[in-house]
Amino acid sequence: MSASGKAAPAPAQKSFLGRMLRSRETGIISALAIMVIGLSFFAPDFASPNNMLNDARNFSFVGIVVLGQAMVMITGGIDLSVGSVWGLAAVSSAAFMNIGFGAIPSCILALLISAAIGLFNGLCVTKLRMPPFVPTLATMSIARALALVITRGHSIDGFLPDDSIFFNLGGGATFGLPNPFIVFVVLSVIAGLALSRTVYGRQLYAIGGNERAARLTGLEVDRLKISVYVISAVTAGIAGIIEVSYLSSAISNQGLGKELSVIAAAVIGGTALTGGEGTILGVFVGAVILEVLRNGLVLLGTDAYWQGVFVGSVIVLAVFIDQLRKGFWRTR
Amino acid sequence: MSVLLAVEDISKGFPGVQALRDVTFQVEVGTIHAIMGENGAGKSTLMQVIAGALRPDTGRLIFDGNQLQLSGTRDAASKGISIVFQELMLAPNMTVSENIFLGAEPRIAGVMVDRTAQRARAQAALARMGIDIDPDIRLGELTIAQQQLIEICKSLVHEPRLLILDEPTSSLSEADSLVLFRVVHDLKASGVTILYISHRMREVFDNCDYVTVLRDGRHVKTTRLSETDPEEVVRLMVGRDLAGVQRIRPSHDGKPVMLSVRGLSDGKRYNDISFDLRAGEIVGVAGLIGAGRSEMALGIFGAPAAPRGEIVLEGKPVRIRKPGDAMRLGIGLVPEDRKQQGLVLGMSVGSNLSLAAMGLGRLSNANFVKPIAEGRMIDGYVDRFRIKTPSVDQLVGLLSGGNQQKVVLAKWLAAKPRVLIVDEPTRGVDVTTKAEIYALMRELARDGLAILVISSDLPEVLTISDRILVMRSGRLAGEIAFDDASEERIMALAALEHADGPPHPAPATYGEAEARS
Repeated sequence: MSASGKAAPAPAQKSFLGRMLRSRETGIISALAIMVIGLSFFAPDFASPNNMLNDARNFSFVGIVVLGQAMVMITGGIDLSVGSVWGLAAVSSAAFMNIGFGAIPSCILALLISAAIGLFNGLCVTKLRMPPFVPTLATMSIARALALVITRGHSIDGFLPDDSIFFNLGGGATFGLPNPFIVFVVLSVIAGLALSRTVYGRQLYAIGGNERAARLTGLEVDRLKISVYVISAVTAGIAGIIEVSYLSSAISNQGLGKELSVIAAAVIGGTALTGGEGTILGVFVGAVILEVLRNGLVLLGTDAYWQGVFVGSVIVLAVFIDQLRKGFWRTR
Repeated sequence: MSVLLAVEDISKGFPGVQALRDVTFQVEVGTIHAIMGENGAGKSTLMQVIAGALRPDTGRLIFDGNQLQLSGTRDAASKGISIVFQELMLAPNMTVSENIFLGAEPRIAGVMVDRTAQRARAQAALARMGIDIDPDIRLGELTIAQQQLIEICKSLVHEPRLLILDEPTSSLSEADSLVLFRVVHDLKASGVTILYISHRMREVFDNCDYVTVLRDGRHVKTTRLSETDPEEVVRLMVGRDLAGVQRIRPSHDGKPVMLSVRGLSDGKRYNDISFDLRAGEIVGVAGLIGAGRSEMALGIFGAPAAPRGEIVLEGKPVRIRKPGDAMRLGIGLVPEDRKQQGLVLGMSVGSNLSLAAMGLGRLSNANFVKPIAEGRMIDGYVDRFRIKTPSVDQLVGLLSGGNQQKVVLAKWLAAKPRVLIVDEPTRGVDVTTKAEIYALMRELARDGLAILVISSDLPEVLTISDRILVMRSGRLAGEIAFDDASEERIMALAALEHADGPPHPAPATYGEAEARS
């Protein structure tokens, strides 16, 4: 063990190339690049600005939620409720507007409802010592049911907020880029800075790496863990609201099954289910890969029923490559 | 005496490191043969080669006159070589008898476990070792020492002729080790040859017949222990004379009391603990494993807080509800188990080192880490503690045990405590690093830090402490001043009422023998 410490080549590690090769993101960014180049070649429609912008809008919804999920997973947890919270936030924001609330108060209220569910998850995980799977599985069911209670199975689409800014959020564009994409990028930058540059981020990694050690180092483990579940639920709420704005209507099964896409994107992006590992750059690319793959398969004329097989294979392949990288670059 | 095992020119390399080079020595039948060397000397690799877990690159093993070709540990076990690894490989949720026969269950019709036979055979095996443990009890309910004995019992299922014990006492106190040695001597008497890895010099000299010393993957010497002495063995291990760490008479009269603990109790594992700790003083806490020492330390630190009792820091009563409170008051705790409690193994050396200081709001501005200040702080400690790491970005899990321990110590010192509690400062650490850690602790005390050292290693407690507190069954059994300190005094206090304590495998005679000597 001590020998491996001595043997590692110290200068090589410092070089830019060495760091690039060692970085977990290099692999998936190259994978994305290969996919994009390949698709542009075999499916010329893929590279059209229209298709690209459409993709950018599509992956932003899942992408925004992945940011929160990544933070939960870095602490060693998982949040299964995001798809349902997405739906609940969507229908509740629409319902508030429908009964005459302004756009901004409606969105704030919908986000508060999301945050409350996140808080509930966090409290169950920390104060009641439940494994994260359990409360988030419960709220996945609860939030979806609440969305059904609100809509009674109908869609909400008659609402007209006082101004059209609300519809602009999901459907509009700024400097030629779709607004959801801009929201995604801005939130990614914030989350990325929080994870890599702040004490808060450092502490999240420490909790995921070794919770007992983090506790004995005086970190407020419970508070930090609750915070990530709240953040995760709020990102799900944001995605739901933006989707309502884009669709101009809300139905109870919005976001249905999205928790799986979100977790898949996080895993493709190199986030470890065991905690302590993962980056925002990684999950950002993970979300993009997932959408490019879906879109590419459609453009290549693949049978839609087969899509799941490809997505599943990519998940396994991504994790397999990550394991190879670890085995290869880390002396044991 | 005839030779049971001949190791001839064994070499084994891993990518980037040659672990063993042309190791040659012989083990005689019916002896206890110690293998010593610093961490990284190749002891464990050699044992894994002998036990069939690793295949040597070159060289041969001659066992009982025949050349061995081992395909794995199972194969080795069937040929009469068993190994007990340092880390326990038992399932705490299963019963004692299930653990003993794990993978070798007596069967009915080849599919069903014959529970009756399993239980009877487990009982017989335990009785043969002279251990009084119910085979139906869940393993997790036993003490670590008892679990260690079960591990040995499990390895005896295959009736080995050569038993390899890899640091079995590293997590046992002296008294618990005595029980283990009684079993080892019984095995020897019944004809089993034992290869014994240990860092504890005295243990080896008290119990073994031969010693083989390895250094940097090479065989240095094999000799009868009666023909050598500890100084020579250390010299062979280190390759030079080690400046012995001397006891230093304390001179802290008039130094202020830094920490006072009054009547600290959790009602279960520690009761009514009261003591004072002065600035610049190193106080040792000795006692058997399970005496409540670590729990008491965690109680002071708020993890979890003691329900009863008072903690006074520099004359002011303080209330500590959680580790964060203790840290803000300037109390640090280097926990017992560096891998489970001390370090985030998947994080870099640097991030581990700054974690405690950062939690106190240092090295950051409005929650944003100040990378330059952090880097300077980390480099400072890596230099001062001579932490051997290729870079501060190296994952801490890849460092050697001694260097990991230095990182944990550095992490706590970076938080600038006034009181530092250190639980088992040198467990599993080689002699060179041990000496470095002792010197560091002395230096820190000289600068005014109040240090409480919990240790199960008696020579360590004696060497490092200005005075010694002894705990027994959750209570302070007594205090020993610098001039009165001896291993006998400590053991007398630690083990006197041993037989009255909670169920424990140590027969009363050992406690009494220690007390009388």
